[in-house]
Amino acid sequence: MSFRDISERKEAREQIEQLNRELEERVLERTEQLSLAIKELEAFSYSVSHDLRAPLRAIDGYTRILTEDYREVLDSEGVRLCGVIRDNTRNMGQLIDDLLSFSRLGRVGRGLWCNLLFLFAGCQKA
Amino acid sequence: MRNFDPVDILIVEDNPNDAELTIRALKKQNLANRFFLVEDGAEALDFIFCRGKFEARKECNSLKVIFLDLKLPKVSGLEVLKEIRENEQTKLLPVVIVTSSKEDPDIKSAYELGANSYVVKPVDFEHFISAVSNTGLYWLLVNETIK
Repeated sequence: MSFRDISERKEAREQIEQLNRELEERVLERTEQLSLAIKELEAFSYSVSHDLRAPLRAIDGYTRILTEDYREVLDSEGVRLCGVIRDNTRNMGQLIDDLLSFSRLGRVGRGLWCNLLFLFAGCQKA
Repeated sequence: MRNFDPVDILIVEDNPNDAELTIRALKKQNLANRFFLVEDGAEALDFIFCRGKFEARKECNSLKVIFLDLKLPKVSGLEVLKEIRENEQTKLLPVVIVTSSKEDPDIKSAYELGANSYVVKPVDFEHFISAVSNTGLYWLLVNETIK
C-alpha cells in the first residue's frame, strides 16, 4: 500500500515540475512579445515627434517672417492674427512633447511589469 | 557650368522649408555668403568629393563645416557621414548633425561614426534662428580647422 502512495506523490511532483517548466517558457515568450511591442512604440513615438514637428516649425517660422518682412503692409490686426497662429503652434509643440513624455511614462510602467514577471519566473525556479 | 567655389558651409537638407529657414538664420549673421544647399545624400557626396555634376569644383577643400540632416533621400545621413570619415581628405572635416528630434535613434550611431556636434531644430522660430546662428558662428568663426 505504502509503495503506491509514494509513486502517486512522485507522479504529482513530476506534473508540477512540468507545469512550472511550461509556465517559465510562457513567461519568456510573453516577455519577448512585450519587448517587441515596446520597441515598436518607441519607433512610433520617434516618428510622431519628427514628422509632426517639421510642419509646425515651418508654420511658426513663415508666420514670423511675415511679421518681420511685411511689417509695413500688415496693420495691427494682421500682426495680432499672426501672433495667434504662433501661439497655437507653440501649444501644439507642447502637446507633442507631452505626448512623448506620456509614452515614456508608459514605458517605465511596462518596465516595472516586466520586472514583476521576471521576479515571478525566479520564484517559480526557487 | 556654375562656379561653386569657394563654399564654407554645405547644408544637406531635404525639407525645403527647413532649408530656407536655416539659410535665413545664417544670413542674419552674415554667414550665408558662401553656403551651398543639396537635397539628398548622393548629391552631398558628389559635392564633397567634387564628382558628378560637381566635377568642376576647384576648391575641393574649402568646406569648413557640413550641416547634415539624418533622414535623407537616396543616401542616408549616416552613410554620408561614414563616407566622409572613411576618406583620407575629409576624415577631419567638421560635421554637425541637424535633426528634428531629441529622440532620434540614430544619434548614438552618428557620434560613433565621428559626428562633431548634434543640434535639434526647435519648433519655435526664435529658438531655431538662435540654434542655427550659434552653430554657424561657432564652426565658422570660433572653431579652428586643421589646414
